[in-house]
Amino acid sequence: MTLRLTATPTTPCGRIPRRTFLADTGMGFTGLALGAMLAEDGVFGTLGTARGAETSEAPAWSPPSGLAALAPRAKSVIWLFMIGGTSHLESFDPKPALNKYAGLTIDESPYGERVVNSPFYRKNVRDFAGTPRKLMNRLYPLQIGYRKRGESGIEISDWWPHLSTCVDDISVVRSMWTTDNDHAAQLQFHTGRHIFDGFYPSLGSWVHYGLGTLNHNLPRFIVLGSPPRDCCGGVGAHGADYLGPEHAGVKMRINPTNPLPFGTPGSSVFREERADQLGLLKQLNRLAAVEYPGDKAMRARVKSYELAFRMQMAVPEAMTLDGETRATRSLYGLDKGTTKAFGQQCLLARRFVERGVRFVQLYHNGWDAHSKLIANHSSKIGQTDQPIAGLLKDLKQRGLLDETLVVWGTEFGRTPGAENSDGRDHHPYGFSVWLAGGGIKGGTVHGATDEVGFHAVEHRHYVTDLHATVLHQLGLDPKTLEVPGHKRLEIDYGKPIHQVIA
Amino acid sequence: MPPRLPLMCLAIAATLSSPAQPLHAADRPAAASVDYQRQVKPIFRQHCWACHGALKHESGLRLDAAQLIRKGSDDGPVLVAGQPEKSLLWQKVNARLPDRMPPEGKPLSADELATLKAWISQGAPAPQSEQPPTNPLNHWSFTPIRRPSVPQPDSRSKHSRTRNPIDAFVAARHKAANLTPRPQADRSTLLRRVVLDLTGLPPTRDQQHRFAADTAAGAYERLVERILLSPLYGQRWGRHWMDVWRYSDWYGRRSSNEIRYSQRHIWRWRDWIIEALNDNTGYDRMLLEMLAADEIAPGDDNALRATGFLGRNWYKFDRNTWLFETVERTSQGLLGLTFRCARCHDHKFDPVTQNEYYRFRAFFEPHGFRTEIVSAEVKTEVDNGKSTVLSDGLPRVFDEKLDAPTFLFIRGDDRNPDTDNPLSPGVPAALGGKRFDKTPITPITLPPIAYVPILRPAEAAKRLKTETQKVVATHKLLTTLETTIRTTATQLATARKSPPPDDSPNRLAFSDTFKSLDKKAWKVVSGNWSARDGMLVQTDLGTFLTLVSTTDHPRNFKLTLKYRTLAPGNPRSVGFSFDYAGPKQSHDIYTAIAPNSPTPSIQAFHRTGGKEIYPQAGIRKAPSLKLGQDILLEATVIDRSLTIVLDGKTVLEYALPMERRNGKFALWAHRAHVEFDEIQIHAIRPTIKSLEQSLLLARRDLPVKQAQAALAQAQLDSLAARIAAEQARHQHDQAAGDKLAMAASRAEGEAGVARASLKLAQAPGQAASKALVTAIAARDAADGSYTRFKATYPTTSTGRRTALARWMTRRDNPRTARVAINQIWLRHTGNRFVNTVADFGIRSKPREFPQLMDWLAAELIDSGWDMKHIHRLIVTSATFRRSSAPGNEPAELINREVDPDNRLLWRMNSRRMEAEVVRDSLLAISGTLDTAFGGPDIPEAKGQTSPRRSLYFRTTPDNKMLMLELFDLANPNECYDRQQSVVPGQALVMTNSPLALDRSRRLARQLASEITGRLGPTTDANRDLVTADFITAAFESVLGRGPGREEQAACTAFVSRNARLLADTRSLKSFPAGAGSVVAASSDPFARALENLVHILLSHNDFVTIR
Repeated sequence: MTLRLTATPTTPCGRIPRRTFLADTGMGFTGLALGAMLAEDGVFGTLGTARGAETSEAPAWSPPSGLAALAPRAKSVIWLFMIGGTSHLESFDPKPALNKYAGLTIDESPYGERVVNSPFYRKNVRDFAGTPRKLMNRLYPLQIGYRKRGESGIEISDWWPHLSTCVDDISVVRSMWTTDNDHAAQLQFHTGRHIFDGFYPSLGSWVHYGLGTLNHNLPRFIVLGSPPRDCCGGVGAHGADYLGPEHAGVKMRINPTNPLPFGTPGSSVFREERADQLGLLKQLNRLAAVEYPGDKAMRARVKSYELAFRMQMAVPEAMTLDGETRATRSLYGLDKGTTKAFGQQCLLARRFVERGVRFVQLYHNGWDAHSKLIANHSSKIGQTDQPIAGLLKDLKQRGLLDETLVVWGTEFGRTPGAENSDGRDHHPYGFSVWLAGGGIKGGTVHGATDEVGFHAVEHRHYVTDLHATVLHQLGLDPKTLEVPGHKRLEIDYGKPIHQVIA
Repeated sequence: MPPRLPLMCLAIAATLSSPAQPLHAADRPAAASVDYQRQVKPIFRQHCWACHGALKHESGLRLDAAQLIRKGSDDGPVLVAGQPEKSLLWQKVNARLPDRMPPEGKPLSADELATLKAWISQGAPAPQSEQPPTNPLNHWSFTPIRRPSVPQPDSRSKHSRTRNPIDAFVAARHKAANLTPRPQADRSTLLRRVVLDLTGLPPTRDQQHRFAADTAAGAYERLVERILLSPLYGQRWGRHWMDVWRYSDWYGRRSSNEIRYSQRHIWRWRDWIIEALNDNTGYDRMLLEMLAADEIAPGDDNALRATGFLGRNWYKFDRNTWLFETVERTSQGLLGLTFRCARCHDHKFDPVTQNEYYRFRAFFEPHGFRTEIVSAEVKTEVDNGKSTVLSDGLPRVFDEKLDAPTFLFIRGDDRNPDTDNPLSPGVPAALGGKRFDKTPITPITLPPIAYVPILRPAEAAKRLKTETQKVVATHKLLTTLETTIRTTATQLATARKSPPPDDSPNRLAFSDTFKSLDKKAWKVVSGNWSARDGMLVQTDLGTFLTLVSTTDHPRNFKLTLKYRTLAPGNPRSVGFSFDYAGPKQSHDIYTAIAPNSPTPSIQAFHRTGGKEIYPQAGIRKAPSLKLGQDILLEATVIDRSLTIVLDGKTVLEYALPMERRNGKFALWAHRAHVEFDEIQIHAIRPTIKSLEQSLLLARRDLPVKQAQAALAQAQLDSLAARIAAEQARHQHDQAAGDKLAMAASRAEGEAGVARASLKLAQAPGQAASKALVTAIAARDAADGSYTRFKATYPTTSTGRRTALARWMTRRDNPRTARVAINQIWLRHTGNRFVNTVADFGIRSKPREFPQLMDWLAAELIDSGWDMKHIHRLIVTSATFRRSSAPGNEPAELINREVDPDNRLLWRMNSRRMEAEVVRDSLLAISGTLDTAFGGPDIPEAKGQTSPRRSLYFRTTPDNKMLMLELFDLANPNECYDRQQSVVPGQALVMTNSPLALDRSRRLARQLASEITGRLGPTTDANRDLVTADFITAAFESVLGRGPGREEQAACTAFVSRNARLLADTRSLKSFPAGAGSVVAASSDPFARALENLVHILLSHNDFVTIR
């Protein structure tokens, strides 16, 4: 099953010469599996020997094998992304000092010196539109209480009652930082690059590129929910840029009858009629192939039609929730108006990873609480708390949590100081994310912000450290995922956060 | 940069300290002998060559060949064979920072250290034959293009089939590799190939039949000539160049119309590309116009469109990102030069330095973008963040900041510019920088049309249009006034004949005591209005909660209003509007009782253009007003005068500041609850006195209005005359110029007189009279001088971009022609001269045909950069015409063994159609493609319904037509070379998209009706004949060829089988709904089977493949 094709380094659209080995990576969402099937069919023939090192100088580059380079701890990833910026201060990072010094300016508090004179303040941030964001100076007290949860005693705010019951399975990282203080940080959170640097492959697309599939009938990288708006990276947050569109996330509608683009010819066409057509197609392609022996593109195309036909069946099946019990549905909050929408996404995420989808990316919008933080966050958390907890519990009870890495993130935190008297502004200097399952050490807290939750000060992690952790758990070494012509910097790779790994 | 200590200093440090202790587990014994080539050299390559290689040899040390390693550095040997501990080389890689080598990046791993140590211990063996790499400047892509001589074909050999020099070069390689080239493709394949290649559309059936019939010699060549003249060529090859030049429509936030990247109206550049190609503009000229049309053709709007090439890099938020893109895309797309590493440090592989990167940037440092008006009719719109922008226009480059300095950014960090060393524009030394530096860049003096916008005809027309509108408006006011004077005079005459008694009662025009809320009389705009207990009540707390009348009030009227303002709310205002034309336009009066302001007030104000204006003159304190107490408000409005009487006392006499107009009246409550008891409106009859007063006022106003109209006309005339004079002046038409200058001078004088006349009419007096006399004198003394138009933009341009473009297309530029020819060759043949089409650096290597590449590049240059000449050469070559099928002859089987990937072109390559060609072909075969040229980008969502060619649809990183994206549409950020994937999404498009379903049904019906037109309606008797003809026609339409015997049989069987299946659909299962197809399938099973046949042929691999 192992495929090793060498190819000459070249960059079609900054990518790889698909045609020379399109039977492999060019297969898009069926990817290597199709390559493998063709290999089984003997399609490759002498392919491997004909190429090899084109230049004697550079070592020959080869596309990823689709196999984990390290021992994998997870098979799949569920990536929960909160668009707009969730307040770390009202969620996972309690700062009693904010209550103590509420109403004072940061300067007036004992921490002013440390905040503004920190080497990270402003220097790390690349300001959108050229003007630095104003310092939200007046400290704003915590808007919700905290208490210790579970056996680990990790503090989670009272706004997250359901997630709090899962605390011993999650590992909170309180020391994330990023460099964009506007919402294009959404793109940055997924590609590791500030939008000024342009567009780069997203984490999910790297996983897609690096790993083979576990299900020949489903896309490997599925996206649910509304992506960031165009200003903030848009579909770039699940795009593949130079890896090529076949590695991008496939955005699905939550509609079991027509979830895929061009997924149905409409009700006026009969399945039997279509099957009859495909029978003729196969016959005609086979006849034409006589003149073109060894035409890999043709072989791949024939297979792709069969796969498409199977996908048309498999995807709606995966999206139909009819078979789920009432208990499961209420676990995810499908029976309540507030939680139904995100609950559905979470339940679908479980169904997808159950079927071998590698990367499921869920978006939840509307966290940008510049004012009315209480109303905003209590509502947004209310929509997601139970579905997320339901997902973790369901995965656990099905024995899937061990092999599924769940990551919860947001583009940045929110300022310790108040904005508009009752809100908090964007805050790239320190914020929280958490991970669960997939070989993550549950019940841990890693890293810390300073006393007022401003700067990440202990175990600082740029967003790509989170990417590195995900890839590490999947058994991928990002440095083996190089693409010729696209030099990656050290910061692009990040470093796995070993302290959260079991 | 961190201190990169020369090896010498470190050598001293090393000798002074104790022998280096192993820092890693590197002293493990090496098991076997180390292979220099396989194990050691790669370590040096990865870690050391960037500074100690052929490109750079710091401290004189090179580590790219064993003999050079032994030679050591300027300061002596670095290697003691057999003794790693004594070898400086070993000590350095095994040291800790800051002594360690390499000083940046990753240190050597433990394994690498062990390998290196073992190699030195074993005496550092290396093969004698190893040659040091040559000087990078001798790399092919840094040396000028010399035209190679064409190999002489051997007339007796099987390789002799040469039609032009291309074939001779290819044949020479075939001969050397003992390959047997394939014969020419069959005529239908060849026709489809060449037509698709040059037009992007498949040949029509008619074209196929005509070409098949034309068996005379030279038929193919004549065909090629015809196609090269077709404007479809520009659309096809335009899209190719749009890839390389990374065309993108503007993007950012479409929802708020906010541009963040590229340019609005950049489609004009797209249209320019297509037109330039169709005109066969030279490639050199195209580059020149794209980079510097503003300098070489500043008055030519058509040429200026080309600068969209630069405008595409525009980025709203960051100038450095913008210039970074400009440098990178220009160098990669046009020169095959990857510059991006050199933004932060000297290039590790290619001979370009960081300094050279910034000197290249200096070409673009002064440039900026602006949008020109293209017609007088142009409108404006609001861009969120850029305020008002033109709804149509021409985006164009210009040198905006002539003195903008360029600095190197230390480590590429724009916050850290090296301001001590401003840089001048230049090109890398390796690409001929010294020769470039010898020719000084001369600034260009621009013609006035480039910096005086009004000299542009469209701009002039727009300004004249604005002035003309003023003339029309002032004349209208004058006419209205004249009418008023006439009618008032008539009224007065009538009144004088039978004078009305001065105390004649005014007519009651409207009254309401609010027994109910009369829907006929009132309309609720906002608020909670109801009638109860004989009161009109409003009980909401919003702003301006309004009840408006359904009829107009008389122009002159007296209002009587009784009401009470009630408790909640603040400031608790209750008001009355007249002349009401919606919430943005009215006169208003109101009472305000504010709890936190001691004194209640009564006020008059007005609303216009959405603004509320509260003149101080309209505000009066009204201490008697109290919450819950009755208020009696009486207001009299006669023309522009307003009198308010509150509880019997006159409190305000006020001149309305705004023109009166007819309108409705309204009641409103602003943050207040209110109860109205009664409203009465009496029309005030004119009296002789009031008519006399009105007439007097109107007559007094007449000279002012007349003067205003005269002034508007004079200003229009003056502007027109000045424009004409200025244009003549710049066209150096002396005689006409003098005459026109005189006219302008006089017209401006007339305008001065008109202005002074107006002032006099407005405020007669000695000073004004004197000013008029002066103005008349000035007019009469007109001497040909007039107020010149000022320069809005710089009057010169730096000439830098022109210098860059001219350097690029010099005969001795080693890159430009090679890069272009590689792109053209790739797109014709699927074969590449150089794999990395956007990187011709040190690590790139020409593949099989380096000489052919240079020959074609020389041919491109020497033909005057004639691209059609190159297309013609390629498509008429024997090489291009070969069959793409590999063949089954014994010799051909050897071809497949020797060169399975066809790198030597013993056959033609099959290629997958580009995304646009797939969609356009789909539309074309059903005869519904609209090949119209040009125009603004069409929203991509219309891709399934609009029949325009695909390249006209909006394409940006945020907007891509899904169907095209699935077929590997160019990434608009960067695409020098498309990929050709095969993904199931493509299958779904071809089988399920409305486009595929609808067009195949249409095509099937066209073909069927054509056949039954010939054979008569389908019956059992002729069904087989109809089927056979239909299959042939369907194959020709979709695949450009007739069916083979077996294909015919398979399709015949399908048609009858499928028709049988569809004869009874009761047991068949439908797909889910939701496709959006608009053409229904035929109800007749046989007709539907034919549709299904056409439909599935679209999915045939040979439809999307160019064979």
